[in-house]
Amino acid sequence: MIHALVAEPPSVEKRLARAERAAHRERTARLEAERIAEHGLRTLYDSKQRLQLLQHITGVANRARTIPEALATALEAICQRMSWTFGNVLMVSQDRSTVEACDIWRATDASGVMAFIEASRRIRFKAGEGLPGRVLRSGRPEWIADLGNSTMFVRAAQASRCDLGTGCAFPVLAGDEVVAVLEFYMQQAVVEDAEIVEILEQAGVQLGRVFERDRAQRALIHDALHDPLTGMPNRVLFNDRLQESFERLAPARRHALAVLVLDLDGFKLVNDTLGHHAGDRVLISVAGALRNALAQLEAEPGCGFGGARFSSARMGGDEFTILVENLAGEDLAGHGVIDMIAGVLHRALDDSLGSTSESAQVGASIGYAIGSAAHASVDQLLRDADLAMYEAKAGGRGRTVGFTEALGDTLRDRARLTNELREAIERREFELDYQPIVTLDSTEAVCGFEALVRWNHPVRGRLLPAEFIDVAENSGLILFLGDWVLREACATAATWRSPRGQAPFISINISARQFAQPGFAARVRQIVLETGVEPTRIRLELTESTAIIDIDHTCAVIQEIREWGVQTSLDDFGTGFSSLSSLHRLPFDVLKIDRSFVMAMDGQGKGDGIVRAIVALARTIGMTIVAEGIETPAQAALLIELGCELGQGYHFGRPALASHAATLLNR
Amino acid sequence: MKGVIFNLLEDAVTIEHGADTWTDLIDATGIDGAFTSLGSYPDETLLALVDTAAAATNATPADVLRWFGTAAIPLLAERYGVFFEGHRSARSFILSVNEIIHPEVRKLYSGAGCPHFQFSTAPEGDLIIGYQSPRRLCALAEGFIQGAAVYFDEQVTISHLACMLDDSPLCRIRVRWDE
Repeated sequence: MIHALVAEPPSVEKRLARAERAAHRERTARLEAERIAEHGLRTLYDSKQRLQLLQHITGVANRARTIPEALATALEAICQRMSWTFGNVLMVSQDRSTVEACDIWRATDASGVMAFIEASRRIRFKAGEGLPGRVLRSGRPEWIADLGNSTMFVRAAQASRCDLGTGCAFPVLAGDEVVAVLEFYMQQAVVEDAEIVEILEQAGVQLGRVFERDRAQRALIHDALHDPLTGMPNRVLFNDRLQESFERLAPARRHALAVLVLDLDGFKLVNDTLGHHAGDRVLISVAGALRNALAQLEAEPGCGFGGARFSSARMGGDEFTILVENLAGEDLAGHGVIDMIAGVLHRALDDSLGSTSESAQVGASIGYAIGSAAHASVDQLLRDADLAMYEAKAGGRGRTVGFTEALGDTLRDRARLTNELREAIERREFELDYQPIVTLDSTEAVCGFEALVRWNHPVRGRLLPAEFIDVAENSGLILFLGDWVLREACATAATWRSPRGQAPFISINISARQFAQPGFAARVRQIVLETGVEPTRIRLELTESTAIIDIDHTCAVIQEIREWGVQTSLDDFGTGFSSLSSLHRLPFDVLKIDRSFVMAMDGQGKGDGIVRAIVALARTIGMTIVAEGIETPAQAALLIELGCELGQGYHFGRPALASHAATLLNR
Repeated sequence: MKGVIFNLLEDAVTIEHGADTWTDLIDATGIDGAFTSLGSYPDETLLALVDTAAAATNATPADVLRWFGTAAIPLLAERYGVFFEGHRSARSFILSVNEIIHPEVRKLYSGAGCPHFQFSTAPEGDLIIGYQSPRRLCALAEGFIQGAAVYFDEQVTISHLACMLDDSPLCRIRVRWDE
């Protein structure tokens, strides 16, 4: 066929016509190729633009510091790059049942679509209702191509007034949860574009990350400011609130503010005996009781707390605090109100904790302080409330103490004395007096001495133990002081020689803390060895209350030191619990009858009877008896008659310096 | 200059004067004359074609550009119908050039240097168009406007209130619709 065609040479006209046809074909092919290429280019361009938009939104989601900032920026970008006339943000409610516009919107021509904007910027939809509501329910983008005629579109009337043709909405997703809906409108009627929808869907996922981040941040902040066990605010948040409240008030109005510090009584026992889980349950139950009680107080109008606001916190351990704001009334009225509040809290804790056996023994000591112009900072206010709490605690369980100036003075004096005492120990401002102990017979021979500590205070002169022993015990300084006394007394006793036979013994008072030290017996042994005093001449005096704190420990220590010959003496017998069973168990060598019993003797009455009974008891157990505080010859005579063996008191000799004691021995 | 302009010029010349005239014009201008719509070609090539045509027809280059613009509109409507579909008047078509037509042009021809027009409406209803471009193709713009009027079956009078060709910093073109 081809061969046949070329066989006959064509005419010029035919060749020209053929060339023209070929040129036409080429031209048609070129136009077609250009059309195909143009289509490809346009698609590529659109894809690129959309990807750039998505990239932009991803960047926005990464950089944005707040949710509104991210949404507003994304809205702007989507409107601009996709040529939407109007874009609007709706946020999903806490309970996820509704979606509500939050006045974040953007319009290219606001005046042209004003009616629609006004209808949209505060609108709210239930799930499933309207375009945004359907997105909330489905979690998928929705598209309406013919707004004016859509029965699904709630704002159809306004849309048609503004000539809006197309609407589209997509969800912002945090995980699977719809957290916001973005809606867009344009005047042209455009059918659903799968690629646009996909890009918007992805934009919603990117924006969702901002919500997720925000949630994580909130959770972190919540964790940083709350106690994980009880969910209560922690110390940081409490101090913050207190600081804010304190700064808001003029100094003269600070009595509208109070801080209660609540420390549990008996909590350690629960922890130690029933374990930490039981302790945790107690703390949770305390937190719940406090929350409920305070909520009820806030809710009750006109019951004296009218308008007062409470915020509670767990400060750590078993310590809780309550900030009271808006206290009504004048300066001094506050104490009455806070005492009532504390009363309510005590009862609430009793009701809540008393209901289970593991927490039945737990209560609370409450201290509080009311703000005043004298407080220069919240630290001072908190410190006052703390001090009041310690005072409450010191007075026994379940008490409430409000801070007062007088309490402040007492506590400040105590604090000053503690400091002075600390310095006094370093500067060795103490010395010992020795009071003779004599045989209760006609010879009244000095057979021993009780060492009594004195403080040569640089300003106040010579102080007796009554003026500083409490402070020494509370501050723990008694350990240093007691140690010094023990060593000093032993060293002095080592120098005594009795011209008439047996050298005198030395009675040394031991404090509870000193005795409870794990190495106490070893320390006694060390001092005995170092000072060279004969151990048999040492009598360590313990009060009954010290002895019974831990009877097993007491027995063990007494037994141990007795092996080297050191004796022990039960001091102030009769003033404490005087439990006969514990007396029986404790292997003391000596029993000291307290001065109060000696003073109560009159030669005929009940007082004599008690002393007689104690003497009989001691004899039965085999203890030596020393009567204290003998001031008259009559008392001495009576005690001799009752069979008391040894005695001490002003009648026989006042406490005096070691040098004087030595002269008594040589008399 | 984008190749599509040369293609339109070829079509316009061919329709009005026949295919041979176009080839003659190419030859007379001394260029190879192979243009594809997607390609880019020197501005001077277009101006040289216009100058050659002007010389051959005893017209000014501006006259040639005006003629070309007017003739190009129906060809554009045939090729890019979508740009014309939404409009019922020349005014609305002209006003869409910055927002719709040129963005679309940029989609197809990356790097296309489309001019930006400033539009304002004078109190009496005239459309005032500001144009500024180093190409100084205001006459082509005039032709497009005229072509649009013809396309929408309207009568307009176009005049230059100021012109870059007269050393003005920009052109101000007034379009008045005749009743």
